[in-house]
Amino acid sequence: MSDILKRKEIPIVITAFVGIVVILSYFVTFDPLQSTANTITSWGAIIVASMLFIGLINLCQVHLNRIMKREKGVWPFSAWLLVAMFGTIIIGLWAGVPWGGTNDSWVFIYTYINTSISQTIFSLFGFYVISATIHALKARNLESGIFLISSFIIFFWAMPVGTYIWAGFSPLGDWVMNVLTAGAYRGILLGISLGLISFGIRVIAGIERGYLRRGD
Amino acid sequence: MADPGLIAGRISSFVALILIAGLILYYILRASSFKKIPELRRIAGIEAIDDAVKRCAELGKPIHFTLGIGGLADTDASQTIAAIGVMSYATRLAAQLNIDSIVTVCVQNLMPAVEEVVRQNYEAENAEFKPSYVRYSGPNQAYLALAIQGIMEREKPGANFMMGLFDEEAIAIAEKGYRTGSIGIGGTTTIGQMGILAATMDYFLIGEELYAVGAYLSKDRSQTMSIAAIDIWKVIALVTIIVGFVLVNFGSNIINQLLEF
Repeated sequence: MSDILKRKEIPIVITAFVGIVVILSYFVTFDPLQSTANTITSWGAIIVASMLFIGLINLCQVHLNRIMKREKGVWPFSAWLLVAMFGTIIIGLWAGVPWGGTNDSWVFIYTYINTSISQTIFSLFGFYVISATIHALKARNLESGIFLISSFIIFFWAMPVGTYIWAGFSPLGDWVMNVLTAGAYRGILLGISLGLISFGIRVIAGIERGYLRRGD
Repeated sequence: MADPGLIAGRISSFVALILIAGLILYYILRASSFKKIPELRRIAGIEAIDDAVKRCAELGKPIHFTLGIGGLADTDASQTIAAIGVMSYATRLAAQLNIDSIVTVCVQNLMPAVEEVVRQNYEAENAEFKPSYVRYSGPNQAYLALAIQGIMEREKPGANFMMGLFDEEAIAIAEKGYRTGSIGIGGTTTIGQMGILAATMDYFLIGEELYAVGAYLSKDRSQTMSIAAIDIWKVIALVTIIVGFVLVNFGSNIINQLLEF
């Protein structure tokens, strides 16, 4: 029985069935087809929600292992991660039971801890942009020279001070964005769309199997 | 109960999909009967995967792979599935060379698939699979960026692979990889992040190249012919654009009307 369940045909058939039903439901009105597609989408949502437990188990495995091995310079952070994670889970669950607390504590954690930390991390991205710009924008050859010039045009176009320095940055920047960039993007998008259809057909037909175990 | 039929406004898209899919399927089914199949052009980003993993083996460092912020249940699932194929190839190579892999996952529905693929690759090469090879960062792009920055700083992987859907976190991950000395190979079909990855990674798979990795690596006739079919449609699309451009300038809107049908 277990050998039958390991057969490679099973995930390929499931993928093909789900793919064809969901694609057809976008184009065709036929109630049995729509209801099957809706059911598949609902199953997807349920599977996604249940997968959170696997994420939880993985975090516990990795970080408990570090704590037990007392990995130098790392284990206190792992311990803190587990304390924060289980603390938040317990507070969230406690707020959800009828005899429990209110949502206020959970909202406090989300608003004043989670959001603040996320915004702090996002604010760091600005420094990475500057750092990446410094080593990326070097005129090594013709292509990188064009990249450098167009970057500077957009740089001054986006900054309010740019048009103060030279009024021509505004129309020049608009032209780069609306003509050069838009044209290139549409060309890439056309390639992506056709590549996506080709990839989808290979997956549905079962000849593209890289996503399966061992790619077999 | 609605009458069965095609939805208005999507008929032309449906017909186009049938025609495109039909030609691709024809090329796939007839692949064995073609005497000569076209050769795929050299893609530096794919060729660099082997070198990057071998570099890690020489340095005794792990490889790091992230699949970005896309999952299996969203509109970007296709590029995530393509990225899993690349991840499978890279981790299999890492297992052959007996080096560690670190795969950082942000979306929980990827965890079982990724764990299974990495585990099977290591078992197939009689190498030990460790649970720490696949790591869940938490369901948020900021957590992913933070988790990977920690990994880069502490474990200093020799190669940093970024394949799949990315957003603002891409710059932080790519730049941290560069600063910690890892060779960077990226690939995405997300238009907004292509510039970032192209500027910060050593090698980059632009858009459709990510979808072609499976065909490129397998050298399979059917898969190669499906790529050849796409090239025919690119020419047809180009001709349609030129005809549309000419017709619009002569006051005819027929191409637009056909596309909106």
